[in-house]
Amino acid sequence: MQTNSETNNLRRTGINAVGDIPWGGHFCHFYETKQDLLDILVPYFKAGLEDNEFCLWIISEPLGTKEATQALREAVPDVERYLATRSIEIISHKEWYLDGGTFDGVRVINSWKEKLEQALARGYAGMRVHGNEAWLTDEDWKQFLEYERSLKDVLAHQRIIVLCTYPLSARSASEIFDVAHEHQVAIAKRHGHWEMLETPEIKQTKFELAELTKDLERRVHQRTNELAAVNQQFQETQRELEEAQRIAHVGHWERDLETDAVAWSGEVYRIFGLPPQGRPMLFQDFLKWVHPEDRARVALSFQESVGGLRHYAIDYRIVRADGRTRFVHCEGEVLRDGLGQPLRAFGVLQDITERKEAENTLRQSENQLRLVIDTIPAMAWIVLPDGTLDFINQRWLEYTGLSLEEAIEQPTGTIHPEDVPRVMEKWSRVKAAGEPYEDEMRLRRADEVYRWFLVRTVPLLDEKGNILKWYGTSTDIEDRKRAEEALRETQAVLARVTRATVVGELAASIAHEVNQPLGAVVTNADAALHWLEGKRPNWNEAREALQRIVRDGNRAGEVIARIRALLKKGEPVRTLLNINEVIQETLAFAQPELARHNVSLQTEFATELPHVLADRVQLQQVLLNLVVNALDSLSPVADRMRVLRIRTDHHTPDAVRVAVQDTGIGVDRQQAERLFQAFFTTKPNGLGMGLAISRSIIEAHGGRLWMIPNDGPGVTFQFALPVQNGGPT
Amino acid sequence: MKFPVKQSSPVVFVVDDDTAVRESLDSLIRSVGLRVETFSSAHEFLRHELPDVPACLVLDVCMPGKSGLDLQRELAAGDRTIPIVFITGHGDVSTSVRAMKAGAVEFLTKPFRDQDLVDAIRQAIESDRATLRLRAELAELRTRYDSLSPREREVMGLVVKGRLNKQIAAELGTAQITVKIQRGNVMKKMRTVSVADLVRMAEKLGIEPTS
Repeated sequence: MQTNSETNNLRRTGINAVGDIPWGGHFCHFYETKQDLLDILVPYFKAGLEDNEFCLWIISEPLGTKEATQALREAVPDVERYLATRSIEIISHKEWYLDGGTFDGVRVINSWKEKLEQALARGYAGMRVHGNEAWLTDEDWKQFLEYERSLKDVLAHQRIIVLCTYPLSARSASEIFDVAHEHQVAIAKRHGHWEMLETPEIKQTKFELAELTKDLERRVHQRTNELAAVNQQFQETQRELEEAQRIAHVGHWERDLETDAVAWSGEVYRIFGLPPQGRPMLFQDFLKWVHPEDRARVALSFQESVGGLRHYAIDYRIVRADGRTRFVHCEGEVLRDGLGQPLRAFGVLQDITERKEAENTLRQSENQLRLVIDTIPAMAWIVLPDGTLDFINQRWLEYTGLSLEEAIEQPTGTIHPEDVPRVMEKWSRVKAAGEPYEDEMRLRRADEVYRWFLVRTVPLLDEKGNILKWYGTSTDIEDRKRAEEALRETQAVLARVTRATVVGELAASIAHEVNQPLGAVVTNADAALHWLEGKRPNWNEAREALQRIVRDGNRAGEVIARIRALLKKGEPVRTLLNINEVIQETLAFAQPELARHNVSLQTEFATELPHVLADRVQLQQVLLNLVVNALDSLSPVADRMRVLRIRTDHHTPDAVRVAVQDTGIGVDRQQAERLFQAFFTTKPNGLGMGLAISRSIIEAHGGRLWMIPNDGPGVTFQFALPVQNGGPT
Repeated sequence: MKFPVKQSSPVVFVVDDDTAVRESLDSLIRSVGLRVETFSSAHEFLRHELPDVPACLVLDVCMPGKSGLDLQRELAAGDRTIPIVFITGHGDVSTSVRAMKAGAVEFLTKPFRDQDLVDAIRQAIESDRATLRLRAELAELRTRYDSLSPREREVMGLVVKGRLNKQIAAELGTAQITVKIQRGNVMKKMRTVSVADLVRMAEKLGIEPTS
């Protein structure tokens, strides 16, 4: 009960009929006998003493101080201690009310106030007062009522309870009515029991209060229902928000700037990999989860936003409870009071690890691409359809030694002046057609040296086929070009050497070829001389012999010329050739050799073969090589016919084929695989270049050369050459 | 002793696959008054019947198909030998040695001096003429010898051995007078009068003296 009355600010009166009343309570008590007084006052003060109130008993007749103390002692055993500590003071009414002889209401009220201040200062909960007004005379009555009235106002907000007692016998009914009217509650004895008399005002008030309470309860109920509905809606929203945050990896947070407490939504906990906690953490604790390298930055950024310098928005790393590093994006607002003082901050936090990683990957690949583009051994560039330079790589600038501005100004300025007309003509043609472009041209290096480049360009088209951009590369082929040239020269030399070798192998045959007509010339000359001798020279025979000399001399000259052609240094010249004629010319070299080796030559030439575009000497070289190989393969053969068969046919619509077939010793499988390799030879003194060179010659003509074993003895070498649209010959 | 030999003009055969060479040789050989016949291959030549007149063959060593040396070998195996003058474009020593060993008259490397060829041809023709004469003589002797009776051949065999009639009669077991008549027949049929001449004939005919 004590704690209850404490907290509710209700005080025990100790009087059953009254019960508890609040501080500021002011009630009156009408008595008839001395016992009536004690019945009420002893429990009144007992309760006050027990409840740590300073008690002040203004005593008056019929009670004396001794009687009062005695009565108290019976109810409160340690009243001596209370008295000793002056927890209760018993003061005569004369001393209190009539100090100075007369009653002065203002002075008395001030005395109450003084006493109350002292009591509170001394640590009492408040002050409990009783005054017996039996001393009041009729003269003082009116003034005293005034005092009572003003006392009501004075007591209203003070920690004080006042009980006034009036003797029933001394007062008229109207006076009693007045007194009761000035107090909140009046107590009187009725039928032997103390009853509380309420004024109509109080009754009315109580009724109104009851009504008000009912209304209030109704409204509270209604409001509670409304709140419940709102709360449910709020919870729904909250749940949806949580869900949305979970899905978006977005959480929200709030930081109280006074307490520095940071509160997180569930998703923030999830992002940090922590179990959700009921109570907020301090900002310092939160910082511990931030990546050590980012902590200072986060703290500073937050400080700046609190200071109003900038909006709080920052990306940083956190180290989760499981040790994994995540990227988060954090954004917030600072809320301020009317004076601009920051109160709290709130905002959102999003897990952007995936995005960040994707960005990183993208950046990496971009960097890599950029690096690739800048380091590839080629110059790369992009041109818009109107010819404006859109992009150029570092290598381009390094090579040309131009600045980016210079390059943009004159993108074609580094092309060799001799190449410009050709390049521009081709480029404009290709550009108009929207086709990929490829060309070789010389480009000026920073040191004014021109080098050969292979320039390639492809158009980038949109869905409608419009050209958006041209992508191009320029590759330095100077070295390759030089190497090609050197290779070409080497090949030419090698081809010549091989040719000479073949010719050397046919030396006997060639000597024969020259010797035959030469021998005939000499013989014819002798014959002519004989015809002219004697008395009757035979002019006709002599002329015929001379004619034959001319013919055979020419023939010998032709053979020499052919050999010279075969061995001469010179660029290959491709002309339209009838392959059958070329074979026949070649066989002229070889035929004596074939005869010497007792080889039977068979030819099957297809008629009306289309022309081939080829170098005559090179074709002769290939044919000679194949014939000499056949001869070598045939010479050891003793047990069968030595046959060399040369056939031509229209292999496919776009190629003619030449087959050189022998009945020689053939080649074994292992040899066959290496036959066309350089420096591979089956001959004791062979160079091993013949077939390799032959194949390269045929392939240089767009054809191919291959070998197939015969069903019977020997092998067949074949080559096919593309035909020219010159029609059949 | 005179044998009847046909006195028709000798002939020179030329076998060469090269037309120019053939034509030039044809002209040259005719220009020195000899008859000439040309062939482009050994086969063509072999199809030709050889005459009984003195002849020679100017043969190219190197030809497609059957070579000069092959032809020489084949001709040697036959009964009508013909002296051969080889001509060649290559001065090939081993080939020339083989040709010469096989009885070639001459081996000339083109281009040759005309006199060398003409001399070789003439030499070959003379050689062939002698051969032909020998062949004719032998044929005549063979005919005469074939006309003898078996007994007369026996008597002739003993006569060329130098036996006397008495010795022959004793060996054959006949009368001496019979031997004398038979001996007279032999001398008459063999158309000779001297035993020495008969001995030479027997040698030519290769008659081994009967033992």
